[in-house]
Amino acid sequence: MQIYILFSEKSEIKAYFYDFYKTGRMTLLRIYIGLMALCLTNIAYSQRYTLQGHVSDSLTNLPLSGASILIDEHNIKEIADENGDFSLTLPQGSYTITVSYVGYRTYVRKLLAGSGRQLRIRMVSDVSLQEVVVSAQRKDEQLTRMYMGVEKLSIEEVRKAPSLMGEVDILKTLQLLPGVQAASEGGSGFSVRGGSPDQNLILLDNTTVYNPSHLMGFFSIFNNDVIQDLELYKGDIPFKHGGRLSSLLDVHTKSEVPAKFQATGGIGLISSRLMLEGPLGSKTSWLVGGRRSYADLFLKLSSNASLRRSAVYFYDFNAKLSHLFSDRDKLDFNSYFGNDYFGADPGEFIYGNSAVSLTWNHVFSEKVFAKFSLNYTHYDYEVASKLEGSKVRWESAIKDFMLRMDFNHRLNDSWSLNYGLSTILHRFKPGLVLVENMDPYQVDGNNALEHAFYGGIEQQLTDKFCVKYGIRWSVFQNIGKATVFNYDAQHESIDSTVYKSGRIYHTYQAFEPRIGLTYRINELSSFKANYVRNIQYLQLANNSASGSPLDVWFSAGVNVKPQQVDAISVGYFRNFANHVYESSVEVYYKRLRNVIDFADHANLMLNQKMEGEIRTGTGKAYGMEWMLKKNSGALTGFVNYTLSRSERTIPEINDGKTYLAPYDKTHSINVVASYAFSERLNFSATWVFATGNPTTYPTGRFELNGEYFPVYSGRNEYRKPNYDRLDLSLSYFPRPKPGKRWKSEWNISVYNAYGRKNPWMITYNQDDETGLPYAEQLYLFGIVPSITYNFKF
Amino acid sequence: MGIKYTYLILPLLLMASACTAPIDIDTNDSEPAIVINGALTDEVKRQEIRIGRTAPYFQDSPNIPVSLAEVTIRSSDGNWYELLENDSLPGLYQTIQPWAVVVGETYQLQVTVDFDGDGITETYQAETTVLPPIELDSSAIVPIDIMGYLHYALNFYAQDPPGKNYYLVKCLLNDTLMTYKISRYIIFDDTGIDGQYIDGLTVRYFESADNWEVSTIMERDSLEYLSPGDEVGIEMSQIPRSYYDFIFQCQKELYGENPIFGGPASNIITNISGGGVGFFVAYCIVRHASIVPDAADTYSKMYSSEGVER
Repeated sequence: MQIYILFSEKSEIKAYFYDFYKTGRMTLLRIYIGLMALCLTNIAYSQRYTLQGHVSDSLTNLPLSGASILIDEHNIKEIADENGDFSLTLPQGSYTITVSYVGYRTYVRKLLAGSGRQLRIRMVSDVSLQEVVVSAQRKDEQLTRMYMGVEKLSIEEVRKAPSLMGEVDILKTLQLLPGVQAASEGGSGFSVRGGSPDQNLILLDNTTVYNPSHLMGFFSIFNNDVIQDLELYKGDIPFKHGGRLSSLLDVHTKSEVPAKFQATGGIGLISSRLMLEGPLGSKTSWLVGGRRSYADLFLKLSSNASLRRSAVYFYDFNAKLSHLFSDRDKLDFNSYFGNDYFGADPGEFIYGNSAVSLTWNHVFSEKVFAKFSLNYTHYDYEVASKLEGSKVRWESAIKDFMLRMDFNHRLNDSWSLNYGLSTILHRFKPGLVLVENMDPYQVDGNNALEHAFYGGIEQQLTDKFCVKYGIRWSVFQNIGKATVFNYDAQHESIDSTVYKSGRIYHTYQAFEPRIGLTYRINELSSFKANYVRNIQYLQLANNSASGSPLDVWFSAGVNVKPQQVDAISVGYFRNFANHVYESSVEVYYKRLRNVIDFADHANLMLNQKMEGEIRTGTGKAYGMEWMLKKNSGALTGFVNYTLSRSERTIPEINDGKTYLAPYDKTHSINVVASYAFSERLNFSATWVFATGNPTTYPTGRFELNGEYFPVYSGRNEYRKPNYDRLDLSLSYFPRPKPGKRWKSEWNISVYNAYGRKNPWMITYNQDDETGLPYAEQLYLFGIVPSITYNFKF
Repeated sequence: MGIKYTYLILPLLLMASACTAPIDIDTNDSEPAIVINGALTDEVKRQEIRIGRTAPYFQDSPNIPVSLAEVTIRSSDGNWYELLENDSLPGLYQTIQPWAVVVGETYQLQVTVDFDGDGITETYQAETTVLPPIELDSSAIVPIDIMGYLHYALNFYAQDPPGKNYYLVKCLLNDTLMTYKISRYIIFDDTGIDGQYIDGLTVRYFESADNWEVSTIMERDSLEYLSPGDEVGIEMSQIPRSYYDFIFQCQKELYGENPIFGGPASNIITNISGGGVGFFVAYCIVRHASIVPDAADTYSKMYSSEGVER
């Protein structure tokens, strides 16, 4: 119970354990302790020897995830993980280790096993391939990976793509991948395979981020200097994660710091960044990085005193600390803090996220690796009016405390077992309004526990045939204090029930099976298929097209059933020309149950009886995704095409007739190309095409006191105009001065190069003379050029 | 309390440097429906109902009124009123005698007309109950500094009765109704102030006429400017929730869908039976008026030490 003692100052954590004691629900605690004990007994004496190692780039020290390690004498193969780490079990003796990675010289070394120390392998970049993109993947990764519908992006790939206003943004680049769509123009919200943005679980170093956006959604919270890479699982989510229907976005910050102190930064039109990193002795490393936008600094030059007092900015801050206690123990501290501020004399609006985690990586034995972590995430916003006589403050927050244990058990070369559990305490504070001279108005907060226990096996059946199968048991418990309204068939509240503090008053549980198989047809092709079930217990009370920072998350409970998806997908993967080209085609079909939408004209803000606005039904989504990717050469990039459909059937919406989900897009094409003219000059272009979003148009009108009001078509019966856009970018890397560490880059980007007017919003106005209505489109971006200067020393 | 948040959210929306362009939308036209509108009040007058028909949204001529309808209003106290079509204004139906609605009574509107022209008449009905008037004590025009410019807040003082209440506010400037259009109606409910004494709640902000010079053309078109000595009137009514929802929905749907703060486009909910649109309501009106204070007085009160910066 170290964790308890360590954090005893934190009243929430205390309360969390107290809840267990008080209610006599010690089960979970026992399981934690039991699992710990189980693993401790596993540290049996062994004659075998564990070889642990780390593969990194000799110059940058960046880990080379996916590097392949081969012990020639025993034909034992291993792949370095996301941190560049690997571990092998060998009998004592001498060996030849061969490490290979695309774009690097093969590393070969003789080893005498038995010394027990860590092997550090620094790979030297192959000179002839230096101009080539080094994709942070094994060459045939797409063929062998056990999961389907996985998209990987390294930060280098993200940086190459043209960016809006020079802000390199992983969420914008993500939207170029097959099956992923921007929820709205320029926004960082995204839809995966027809799902809503709140169906994506976004993790930053394994901690949930509830709102990954800055500046009303136009920029993401991820600072590109700090991020190393990301993985998107489009439905086939690893066993250890869950709680969302559509996808998992797993974002990793840099896991390795350079041998010497290093600074990286950039100056852009919107914001500037600085990141510092370095070692602290031989076992500790640190990283701090921050960004701040500065458009508002110009307001200080204004002659108007009020304007001088105004501010619009965002900032974010990442800090990491990593310490190696021994060959077997590593402790990582990761943190993110960010805020957006919009303020002027009449009022202000502030919102932000915090995400903090402490992770202990431990090697129990040659076969058992474990990770224990304690995570905290917080999202809140505050809107305030400062006007004399009508001072109002409106606050809302969601907070999670999570404990998790993940074990990886390598039974032998062809069997690998993953198991573990997690518990999250969710605390919701949907809304509190304080009005000057009046009683506060509060939408009652509530709490919930979300537990998951999982076990999964990855098994190499034959040379060609791999399977993975497992199950996740999720349990969701609502805890008092809470006031739950009871509703009649017309969704009107009839009465309410009050539950005492600490009492678990409602429990849902579900089994989520996940099965997948991979068949390696030959050296260059493979076939995969899978089935997954995902359950979602938390969702956003938001029905707007773009989403807004005024997010309120609400949970399943007495009146709201958890949403469920059953999805199957099959895919064919084919590489060409010694893996220089990768191609794939994937087909998916999803069936959704208890899918949530909201009543017409629903009031979702500060509504005590918000649950009365919920309407549920079924949904389905299906589609086909084609991808062709070129990984190396002067020209790199990808082309993809998605054909898809996503629809909902909810008895009380659209007269019960099936309607298109808001993010349905029939066709979507993305072209991303990057051409390296030389070591110093790189040109990139992105072209995007997508069918217009479904929308409801007015088909009739009625007149009242000179104004015309719409009579609408059925829900989403029409579509907005098709969307297309071309972005360009040119990067120039000046020759570094001899003997100087300073390296720099100039980047010029043009967003929407041919000035396409893509409607973000369609509004109706009345002509000044005739008084008759007409339609107008509001588009956010014309041609947006930008320039950014990046540096490193 | 809805009104306040709108003030806070609007500036945020304007931050995006967006542009507009005309767009052609091609839609199938929906079947015409009857449009019935009427708001009866507790003021003695010839009460009115307007009847028209819907038109295709982008039709380039005004909507057509519906004539030759039989219109009656039946009161729960047993009275019965006939409404006749105005000779010069087709579609406008008025009671023969002036009368006023009574608190607590329920009024039933019945319209009989051959709307679809098939020789058979159709009947449309609606019902409304008159709620008690708001206990309004007074209103006041209070000078306020917003971003360094002089503005005026229109505040009111009243007692909110226990239970859920919905209010409609209309404003008059020197006896002219500023809020004639539904889009300008001010509505709020008593969330957060239930059963309390409302001690100076702001229902609307006005510009000072001094700001005219520094205003943009768009602001001049859409904002109201006050000068010292102007009389600002307030008309307050307690209205049924269904009418509150109707006004709210009209305001929300008038300009189309808002991608950040609005939900999907949805039809405005009516209380007219039989496939009609529009609304039939009856309510009481309570009035108060106040005078815009003298400028010198205002400035000395507001900026006792630092003075106005421009």
